Amino acid sequence: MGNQKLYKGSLQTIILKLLAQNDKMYGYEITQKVKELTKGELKITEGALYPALHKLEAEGLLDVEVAKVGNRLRKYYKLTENGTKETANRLSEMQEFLNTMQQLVNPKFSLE
Amino acid sequence: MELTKEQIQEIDNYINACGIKFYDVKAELVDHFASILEERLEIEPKLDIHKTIIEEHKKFSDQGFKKLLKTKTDTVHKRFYKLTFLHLKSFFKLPKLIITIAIFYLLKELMNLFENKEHFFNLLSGIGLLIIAQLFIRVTTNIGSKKDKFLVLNKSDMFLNLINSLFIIFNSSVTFRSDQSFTENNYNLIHLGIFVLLLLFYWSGEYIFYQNKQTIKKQYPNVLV
Repeated sequence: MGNQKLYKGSLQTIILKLLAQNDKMYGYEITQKVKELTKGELKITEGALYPALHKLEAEGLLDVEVAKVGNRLRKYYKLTENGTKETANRLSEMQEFLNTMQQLVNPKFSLE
Repeated sequence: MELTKEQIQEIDNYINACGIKFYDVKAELVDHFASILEERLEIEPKLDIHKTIIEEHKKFSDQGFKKLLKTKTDTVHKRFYKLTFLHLKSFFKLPKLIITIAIFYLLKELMNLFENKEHFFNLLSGIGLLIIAQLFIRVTTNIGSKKDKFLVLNKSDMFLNLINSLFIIFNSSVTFRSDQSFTENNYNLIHLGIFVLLLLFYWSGEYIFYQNKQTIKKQYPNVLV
């Protein structure tokens, strides 16, 4: 498993990206999807996931839908209109960050 | 393997015993634990449910549910205040500005009908007392109620308690003013302005509370709110 601290600041962006691809998802589904996509490299703890989801909901980026599943209720999260716009912004910010890190970690040879 | 009602109830009781009393927070945690248990029961049908719940709780975070509840409470609190102040702000922009001016103008005209302005402000204090009484009844009936408690609505109650305190301060301010100050029109207008602001603040709080209640009713149609 990689260094989880490196992923910590990207949790909200990861959630937004997943919701942009999956219409609506519930908490446990998000943790499992991340585990599956990263082949177990990144494990989101529930203690970090739910506070992040609640923050995004409070910021108006996520909408909530509650549905009955079997003998219990399930809370689904989906992107709001603002959430869709914010996802694009955050992904572009993350791309810029990755490019900068790439330049720092692996700078190209230059004669200057 | 789908969990039985009894197994779901066992998770519910455990989370409740851990201090999560609010329905909106608890429902999500129950589903989370149930999803984990269902997955593990597929592999191990004779799984000890209670032991597994405790194990999964330990994995949740270093502080159990404490951090989750704190963050949720903070975000709900922040959102409620933000929406209320946004609604209050709208009373100072068109078209709602007309309502604000109309309330202020009508109360000012009413004040002019009173020869002794102190009596007028006593009347406003009476309105304040009615609002306080209404809030008090709502809060006390909620305490013994068997209705499910929602964090979103609980915070709104706290906000209404704040308005309650502000009205108490307003009512006290009438008592503290000297007889001489009631003859000064500027002081009376400032005092009236404060009352209108409080009234609009109360309106905004009630409006957001009502909106939250409607959202909860929509999200949880079979739950008594």
